[in-house]
Amino acid sequence: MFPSLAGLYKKYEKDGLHIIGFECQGSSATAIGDYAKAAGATFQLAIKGGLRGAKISGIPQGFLFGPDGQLVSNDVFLSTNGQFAFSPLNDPSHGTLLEPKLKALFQEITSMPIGPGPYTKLAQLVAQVKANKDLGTVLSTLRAKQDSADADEAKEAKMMFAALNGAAQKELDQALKIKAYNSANALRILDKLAAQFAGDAIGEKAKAEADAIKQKQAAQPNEPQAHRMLQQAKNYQANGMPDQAKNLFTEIVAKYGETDSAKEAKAKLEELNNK
Amino acid sequence: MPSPRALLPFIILATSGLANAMTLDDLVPGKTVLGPNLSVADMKGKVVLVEFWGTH
Repeated sequence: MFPSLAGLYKKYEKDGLHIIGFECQGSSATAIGDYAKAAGATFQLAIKGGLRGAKISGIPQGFLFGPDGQLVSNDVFLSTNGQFAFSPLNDPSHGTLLEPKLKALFQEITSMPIGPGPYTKLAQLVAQVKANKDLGTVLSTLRAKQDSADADEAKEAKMMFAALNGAAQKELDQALKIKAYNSANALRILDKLAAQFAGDAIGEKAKAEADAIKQKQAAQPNEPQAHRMLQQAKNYQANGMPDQAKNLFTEIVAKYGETDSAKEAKAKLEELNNK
Repeated sequence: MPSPRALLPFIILATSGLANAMTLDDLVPGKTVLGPNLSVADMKGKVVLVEFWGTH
């Protein structure tokens, strides 16, 4: 198992595969290290961690997550012919080859744009962007290099900065645009940006926005549902259906009085009652 | 598959059976003893394989 896992990691690390292994039999860190090194493993091996909610039916057992952080399979295994396979969540009895699935998932990894290039001075930063690594540092470096005394380097930095910062800003704007009615998706984008661009202003902004959404979700857990109902009630009102609108505004206030949407529903209700 | 898959000395963390609802945020990386020391935030945007294994 271990040599095969080591081979899989070496083959696909550059494409965006990360492997983290947890030893489950209480071996010492030294024993784990010796075992793994003998097998040629270079992926992340850890102790005292795990996966909350994981149902381990036996070892070895693999859990595969896509680039969106969602679980793809809770049963990745080495088949008898030496190839990795997995069982899809919706069809746990069916084993299918892993590598084609990995390649499909790699296609979903959105690498950030770097502009048209060519880049001769900033090849290292290009490699970092393609590896999706420390993009906050990359952006900060590019900001500084735009004023480089080396005219070619400054030109490349401006080009790459415009592409990378523009793409990040576009994603940030999208998240802010949808956060009122689709906070889950907004949070997913913001968390990703915060992690990708940690250390740069755009990453800090994404983190602050994500924290604000999380705080609001904790304080107003019913806001998403209340917001959806509010939109529906507004639709009724806009389409000449005041009675249906009033009923729904009333329901929102009654059910979700602690939310921002309920406050807006209450104002709308008063407006309708005063007509 | 180089079994055995039957004997597990202990269950890791919870075993609530809510496997389908798990996300990468449920990963607790613990203490890294070998290889890159990535946090969950570092892993976001990647394809991640979490492997439970034993030396014996």
